[in-house]
Amino acid sequence: MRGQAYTLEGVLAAIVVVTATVYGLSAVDTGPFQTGTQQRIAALETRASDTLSLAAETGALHNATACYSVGTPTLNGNQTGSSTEFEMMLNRTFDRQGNQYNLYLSYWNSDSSARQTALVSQETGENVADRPADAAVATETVTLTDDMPARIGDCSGTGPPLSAVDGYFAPDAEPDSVVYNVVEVRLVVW
Amino acid sequence: MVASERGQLLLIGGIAVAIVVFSTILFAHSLAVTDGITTTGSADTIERSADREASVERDLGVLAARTRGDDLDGFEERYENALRNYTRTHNRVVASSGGTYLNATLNESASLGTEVNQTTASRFNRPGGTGSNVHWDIARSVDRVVVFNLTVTRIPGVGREFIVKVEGDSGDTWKMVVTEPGNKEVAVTPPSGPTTTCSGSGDADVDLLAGTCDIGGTPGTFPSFTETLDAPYTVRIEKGNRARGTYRFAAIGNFPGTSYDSGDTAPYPVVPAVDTTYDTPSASYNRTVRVGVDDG
Amino acid sequence: MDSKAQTPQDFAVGVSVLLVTVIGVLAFVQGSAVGVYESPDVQRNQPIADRAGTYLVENYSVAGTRNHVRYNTSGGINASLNADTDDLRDLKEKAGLIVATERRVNPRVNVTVVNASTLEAGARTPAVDDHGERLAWGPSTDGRTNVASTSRVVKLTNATGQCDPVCWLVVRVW
Repeated sequence: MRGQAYTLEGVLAAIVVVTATVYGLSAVDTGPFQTGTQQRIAALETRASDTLSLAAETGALHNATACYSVGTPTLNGNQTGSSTEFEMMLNRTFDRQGNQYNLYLSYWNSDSSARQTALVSQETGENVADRPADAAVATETVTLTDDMPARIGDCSGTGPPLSAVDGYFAPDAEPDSVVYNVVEVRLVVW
Repeated sequence: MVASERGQLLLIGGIAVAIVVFSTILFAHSLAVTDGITTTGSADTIERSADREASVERDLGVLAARTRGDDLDGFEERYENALRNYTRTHNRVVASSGGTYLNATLNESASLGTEVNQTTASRFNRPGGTGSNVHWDIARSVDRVVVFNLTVTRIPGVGREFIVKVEGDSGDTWKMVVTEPGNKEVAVTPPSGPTTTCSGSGDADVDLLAGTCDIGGTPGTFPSFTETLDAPYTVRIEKGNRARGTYRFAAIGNFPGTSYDSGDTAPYPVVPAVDTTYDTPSASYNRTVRVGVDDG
Repeated sequence: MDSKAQTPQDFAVGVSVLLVTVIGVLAFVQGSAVGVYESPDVQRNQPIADRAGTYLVENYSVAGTRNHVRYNTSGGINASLNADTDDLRDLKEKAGLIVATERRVNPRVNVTVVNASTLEAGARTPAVDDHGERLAWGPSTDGRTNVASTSRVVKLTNATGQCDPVCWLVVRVW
């Protein structure tokens, strides 16, 4: 009986030592030690920040920000049938590759309860909180001035200037200056 | 303790040996290779800084385009005011998501550009310097022109003409000839193509950048030199003493000493320079950027 | 207590030490052993792919813009990669990817551009430009597994509508 106990414990000790050695030797490599999940998140983060940069560069992000909530039904995270350029970018880059995303537009409002709106990808519906903690995030800022026209239609037609239009989601943060508001667009992808 | 039992001693000894072996391997590895596991973290910070800077610089360009307006004189003040408001709103908005603290102010001495003008109607003669009084270069090697307005009030005498010539990179010439045979006539000849003429009676207001002329209420258009020639340009006035009027020219280029004395030209932010300071938890730095003024 | 170890308390202590060790080893190994036996090739080649992708985007971007890649102009990505013989050796040198050591050979790099309609279908087949040229350079990856890949979202200049709204530049390394 005692002999079997010794054997068992001896074998287990050997397993522990061998496992430690194998694990240690495999952990040493000259590349950064990222697990598969971390690599996936890093790739998504690159993609999200590339998409936002490209959208800001071509003006699509500006158009989309200036047209959200101003009477156009196309910019609502709905991925089918939209012809807004920014929506199409998000569709090709994320929806069609099986990724979901939430889009947060943060702006300044002296009333602290209303400083952010959120758009969600069609797949997850309205549940804004339903995203994993390890999602990739990218941000970009858009500056709006009083005389910029609001975008209507599929966000390429121009409407009345922002200081005069009704129903725009962001208020005039600096009424005595040419600056209307600064909107931070945050894209969370997983 | 049951130290007298060899079984448990063996097991605990085994665990101790395993821990020692594992940490020795990692320690020896980190001595041999300087690449740490945390380098991805700092690469991320640098990437995000580049993105943030590009975003802010784009916003600065949009603000510059929107505050430029027609009134050149108030531009610096308007732009500084806009920068203050932009900075304040930007910091408020990004603070909630742990963003950076930004401070942006206009740096007039680092801005590029010069302005010359003549505000009272008089002959289009060389303001200072040496050389010919009537044929003189407004500027050479001009890259960006922000305003070029001319108003010709009168051309005394008969059969006289006043010429503005712009020479492009390839040597081609764009010419504008103003005469007053009764009515005023502004004839624009591009390097290749027909001559366009505006005519009317009264003062001739010409915007050479936009390509518009307004003579006593009669409007007209012509191809501007920016559309038909490649930079760098040389802008020249010929027979300047034949006409009287005012002008204003602001650009980046060489305003030669043969045409101007010091004090005849004034600096003007054609390309404004902005001192930006970024403060984040991990990095704090400042840069002076030249803002590309485009319409966002 | 007397020194005879076969008392119940000693037995309890001994068995509990044994059980804790068994459970601990199994729990520890279960998570990391799978990671350890994942192919190290993809992990090792991922930073190489990232670096090649960054070099291509930064070097061939139109000056002053981000992610607008020069395609058909002189010095653009099409001309440079077409002229790059010997499996994109020039690209590897410029991006600093010649890292052969005694234990490791140089990585093999493949660069492709995927257009917007292919992305809509969820595929990754290379685009074909107006002259019938396939936008793929480097050795082919057909039939390979364990390939590390990076995708950058770009827009090509002079690409006549293929990149509306976006194209992807995909770099594969193995």
